[in-house]
Amino acid sequence: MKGRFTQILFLTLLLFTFSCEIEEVGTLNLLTEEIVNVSGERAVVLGRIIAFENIPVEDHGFYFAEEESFLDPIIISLGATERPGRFVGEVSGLQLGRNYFVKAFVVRAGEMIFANTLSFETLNPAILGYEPLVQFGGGEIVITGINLADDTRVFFGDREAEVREVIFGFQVRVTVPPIASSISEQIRVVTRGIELEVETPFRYAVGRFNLLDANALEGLSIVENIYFQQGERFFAGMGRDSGNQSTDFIWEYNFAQGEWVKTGFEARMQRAASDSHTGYFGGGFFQTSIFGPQIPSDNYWHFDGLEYKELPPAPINISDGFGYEIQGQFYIAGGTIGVGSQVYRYDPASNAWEIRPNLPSNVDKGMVHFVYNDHLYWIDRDNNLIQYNPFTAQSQTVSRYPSPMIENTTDSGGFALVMGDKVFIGLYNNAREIWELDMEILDWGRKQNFTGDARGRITGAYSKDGLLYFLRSYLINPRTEFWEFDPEAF
Amino acid sequence: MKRFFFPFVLLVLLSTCIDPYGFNAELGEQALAVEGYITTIPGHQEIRLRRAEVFGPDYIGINRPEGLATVLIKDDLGRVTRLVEQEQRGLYLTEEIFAAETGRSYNLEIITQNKKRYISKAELVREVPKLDSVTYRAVRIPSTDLLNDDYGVQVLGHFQDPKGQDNYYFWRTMESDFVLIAEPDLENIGGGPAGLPPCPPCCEKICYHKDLPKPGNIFTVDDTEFDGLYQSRVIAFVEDNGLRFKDTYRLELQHMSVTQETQRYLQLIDQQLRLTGSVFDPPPANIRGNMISLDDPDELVLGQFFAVDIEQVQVYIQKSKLEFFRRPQTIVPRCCIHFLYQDPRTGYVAPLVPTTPPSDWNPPRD
Repeated sequence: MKGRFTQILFLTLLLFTFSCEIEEVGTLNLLTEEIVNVSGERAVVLGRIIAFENIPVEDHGFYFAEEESFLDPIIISLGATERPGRFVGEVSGLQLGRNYFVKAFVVRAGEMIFANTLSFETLNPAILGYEPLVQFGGGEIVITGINLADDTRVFFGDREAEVREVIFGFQVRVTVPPIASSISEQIRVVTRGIELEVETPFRYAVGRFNLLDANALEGLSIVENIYFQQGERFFAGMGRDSGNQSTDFIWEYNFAQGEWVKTGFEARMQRAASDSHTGYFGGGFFQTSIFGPQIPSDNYWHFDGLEYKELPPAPINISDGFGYEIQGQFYIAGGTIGVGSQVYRYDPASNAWEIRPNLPSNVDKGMVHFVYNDHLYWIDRDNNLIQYNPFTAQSQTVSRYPSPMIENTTDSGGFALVMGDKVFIGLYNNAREIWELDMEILDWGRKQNFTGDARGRITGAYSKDGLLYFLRSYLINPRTEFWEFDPEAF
Repeated sequence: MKRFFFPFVLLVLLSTCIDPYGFNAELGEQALAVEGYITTIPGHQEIRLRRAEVFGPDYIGINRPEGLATVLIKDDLGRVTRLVEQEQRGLYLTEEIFAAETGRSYNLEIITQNKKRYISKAELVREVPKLDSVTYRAVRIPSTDLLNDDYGVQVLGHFQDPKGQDNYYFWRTMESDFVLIAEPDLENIGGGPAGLPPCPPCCEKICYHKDLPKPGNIFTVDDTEFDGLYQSRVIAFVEDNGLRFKDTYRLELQHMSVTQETQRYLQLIDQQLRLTGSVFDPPPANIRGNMISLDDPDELVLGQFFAVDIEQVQVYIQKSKLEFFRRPQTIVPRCCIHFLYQDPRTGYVAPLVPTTPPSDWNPPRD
């Protein structure tokens, strides 16, 4: 009996012994949890220490390597910690377009513990575009792309440009090197040894101004005038002198003599007339004397290259209105008296005027306007370039004039000259900027700033043989200058 | 014996004094709160950043917007879009042409003015199964008021859930328009508010007002229990406040697909919003979003950034098609254009409610 009791006691003790729980103090699990973000040269990874209590570790972080064996790892060390939970590692300087492996680690009591391994692939770089497409030497362009590394270099042809900043791997600010031998350069971008070519060639903002006559139009400073071009013949006249002298004449530029000479046309003093810049003009005001009353004029003419032919009186008084010719018909529109958006059309075939649908907004001659592909375009005072179809009366805003306009200073005047698919626009009153607008892609390219006195206003604009010519009148030291502008010279 | 009685009582009294416990709650650093999501519909997508003030019995301050931060949206191809801060501080918008693409995943990265960096976990945009149709029905819900039930309109979405594919849905009600019916003829009887100009006999009775549908519960679901089955489920609820359904209510709704993490986050938020204080409520909990501080992963960042494929839905809820609605309906005894009228002494000049419908207002004919 006693022996049995001893056996039972022994067995019980044995069972107790085996049922004792060995308490593991401070166990932890480690996890490489998630690849949060990968770009070209950068990756963000989440790791996690799972434990039920604070466990001090001497170091924790991540191993990154191109081989799963982690022979030559990039180690991101986050230092000692004792709190379980997630931790974040960020690595930069990775090679573009490569496969990488990553695993979390902790060092505990001198022992290195690794977690599971995840893999990811860094992205390849690409160029999406740049702007502006045209810039001066020394100016700045911004190249937009993806996965551009901090070591990005930019070349214009063979010349390296100064990279001012690489912005978050998607934009590069670059200083354009001075112009060398060509107005167009191919841009190359080198990032982490990968060379990328930008599709659209870069163009320099060029252009050269040449003063042909410092005292054109017999020394008058002509304003509120009309101007037009017939073939290669340039005309300007009517309006008034800035000193309020009557300018009843029309001058023509004589290339052989290099001076402006009066034509046989004489009118009463008529200013603020509408003109199509193609030979149709008229309207505005009469003034019998400098201080006399302003009388609206309904006199219109057309110069066909040989003679000034008088048109029938227009059925509306328009002053400072638009004038434009589309498909051989002359339109007058808007102006500063009356409704401001009314349109009348003169048809040479019937020799009569007829009313047309109003324009969508008020317009006046202070707004740059031009005709391209039988559509009327104008830039309103909010910089919008508006396209108007005179046959369907549909309009839409197609672009914006890029230069800032300052109310009452530079939002009036200026010129627009259509040369093929390009339109040169600019030289608003007291402004220097000229832009080249590509009508096919509606892209604005900067041209060289006007080098003469800025405080003037355009009173004539013409084109011939790829060159631009313009008259610019000045109120201070009254005069009218005649300039030539070569848009491609530098 | 008496000698010891009073000192003993005094001792007892003293020992029962309550020492107030000087508890000082640790006011942590104001947490960054991120609000916003991007969708597959092109437009200005907005992200709003704020600093959450500590909520408690003592008024600490308002949630201040986080301005002058750099906010970037990055996709898995490496394309980066920078959001521009607006005049309204803390509000950041993409360009108008920006839209998320289905199949792409997006991260939101934020660099605050004090150079702290935050990044969201990647959010994948999955194509949302399109809605076949949307219907609605009036519902009557027992309320705490024994004599009066609550009324409302349930909106049901009918769609085919794709089989063998994990889908997570989220429906969000947006600012909506409704016909505001007024009874200005009753003004003289009931007497309008003080200071309101007397209403001429011809004054307006029908206006078009804007409304944010209430209650603001979150409708979200995962397809674990109905994978591959055709669904006709409640996707929105608009409470009848007596004013909304006097004529026509046009509910604006977004039908979205979200990720599992976002669905879970929204579900937890919804649970917290539905707390009524009963013993059966789940305990209030701290809900972690998917924003991570790169400088301090333990830092609390509030909010969830997500990217969704979206289908915009408009439902015209017409009174004539409702089986029942709240009675009596709310009377507006003034011209409807003065619905937002405030006493001039408040110094607030309320805008007039328009009498013309929105340009795209096109309710079905009865």
